[in-house]
Amino acid sequence: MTSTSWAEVVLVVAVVAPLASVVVAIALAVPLDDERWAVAGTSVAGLGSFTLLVAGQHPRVGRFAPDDLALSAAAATALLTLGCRRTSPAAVRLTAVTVVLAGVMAGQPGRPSTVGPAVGLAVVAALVAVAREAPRAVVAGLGAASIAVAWGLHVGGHGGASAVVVGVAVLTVLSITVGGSTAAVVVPTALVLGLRVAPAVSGTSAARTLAVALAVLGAALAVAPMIGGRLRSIPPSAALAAWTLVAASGAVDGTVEAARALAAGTAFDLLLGGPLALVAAVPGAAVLAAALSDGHGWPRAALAPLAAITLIGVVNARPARSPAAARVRAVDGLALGFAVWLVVRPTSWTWLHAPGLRAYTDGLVLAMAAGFAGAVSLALLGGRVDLAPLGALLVPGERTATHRRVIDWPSVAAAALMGIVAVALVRSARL
Amino acid sequence: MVRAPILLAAFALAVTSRGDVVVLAVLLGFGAGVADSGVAVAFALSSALVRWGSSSLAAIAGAQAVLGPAGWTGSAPAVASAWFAAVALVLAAAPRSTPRRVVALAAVAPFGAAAADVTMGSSAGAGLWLRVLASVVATVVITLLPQWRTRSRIAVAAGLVALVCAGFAR
Repeated sequence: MTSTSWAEVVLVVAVVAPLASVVVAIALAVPLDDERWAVAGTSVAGLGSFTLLVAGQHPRVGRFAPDDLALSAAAATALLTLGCRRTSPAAVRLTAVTVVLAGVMAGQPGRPSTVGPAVGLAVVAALVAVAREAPRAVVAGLGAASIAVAWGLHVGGHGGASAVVVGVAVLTVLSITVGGSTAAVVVPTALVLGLRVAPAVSGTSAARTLAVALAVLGAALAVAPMIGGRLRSIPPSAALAAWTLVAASGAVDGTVEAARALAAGTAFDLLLGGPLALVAAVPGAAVLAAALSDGHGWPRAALAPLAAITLIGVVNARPARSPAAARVRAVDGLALGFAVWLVVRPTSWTWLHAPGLRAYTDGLVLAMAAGFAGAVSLALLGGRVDLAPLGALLVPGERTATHRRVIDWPSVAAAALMGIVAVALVRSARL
Repeated sequence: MVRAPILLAAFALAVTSRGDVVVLAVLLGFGAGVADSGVAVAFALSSALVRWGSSSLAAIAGAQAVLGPAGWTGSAPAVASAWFAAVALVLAAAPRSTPRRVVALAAVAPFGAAAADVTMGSSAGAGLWLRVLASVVATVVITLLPQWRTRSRIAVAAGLVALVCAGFAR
């Protein structure tokens, strides 16, 4: 664990920056819909977290002691918030970012907090309800899932851990279906909580049941868009998130090692949004496939067909939005760069803790060399290698923002309930 | 034209038996350009992964060099798995309608090489020549097969059978 003075300063700045940008904007009487302050605050948070991650720093300030996973989640939250196409009001969005960053970074050195992210998720559920960023049914689902997470943490044991993971799965899937800034702030934090808690059930009968249930959820989410109608808008990242938790539960030996890589793939797929963005999940899928093929027991026999169904679903998924409307922005380019880095050199992402990728990286280097040589040869022979369609396949078109500012009392009541849950969690000795 | 470099990359992996079957499946899937073909390829190569317990193409080739070609070594379900996987890969290939026969052959050669990998994928000795021969035969068969509308669906079914057989063989 490395901690220096500059790292401690960077940590505090990274956590506070999003909310501070709102305060500064209010103090300077800048209109709150001026997105420049929001971009600046979120960028500082993301850059700070990324700097600490790359520098191998694990600063400790008060109750903040982020590990690699927390820092990567913080960077992902910032990147997703910058990249989300449908956003809530800046004040709500930036408050939510600061809350989840504080929650995910809470803990002691070597003992990250599980209550911190849960508090963050409960507060975000309350903010979503207040900002009316999601339909009532989704708000109710987010609230119920937050309560399940809190109950699971309170109870502890295998049953409690299973409840937390199920709650995390519901939070993740619901927020992904809502999209926008809700998904940006909920998904990384929820997945971090799942990755921290799920190993507690690893190797037990609870893990096997949990993994199969989550795999059924993942398969259902993958094939749902094939049914059509409103289900078409469920992105493949929802299925990926479910499979991340399947891997984290450790029902089959070796699957835990795929969990972080799948989580990273989920974040990039969510950020880019196009059908081709699923390639970001290939490193995780490679580790998971190898673990499942080499595993033993009935969960392997149950998970394999569910993985096959998931594959059919994600391959046949048609984008809900027209790829013709695609416009690649700077943040998409940044995300694309990171995604390519992940796919090409996953072993350099040490926080993934994904061994067994040697054959993968060797083969990929050879494939890239052959592909590049082929492209150059084609160009020299007068052929045309048109990469333009790739942009549309990576980044879909935009959706316009819609804010409703009417007070909705059931939502306010749900927010109050989430506030009570958050307060109860803050008082927990496990924070 | 984007498919050409992808197929060339897949061919490099299949011929040299280097890399990971998941990467090969992704490249062949994108190279085929048809969703069903992508699924068929994934199933077929997953069956090899399940049978040999390793995702490394080098490990699969090495195991066949020691134990014998997958096409006639092992239990009946294991052998059936290898052949169904080969059939799936052959049917998953989508030949290009081009007047230049060389281009048409080059476009399907990665699928032929992959089909040889899962049936006669030995990486050393006399088995290597058998594998080269199998690659050529599979590639020629792909180009000679008629273009049925349901070809890729049959490929998916064959891949699924290969996967199930591999599961039973373990």
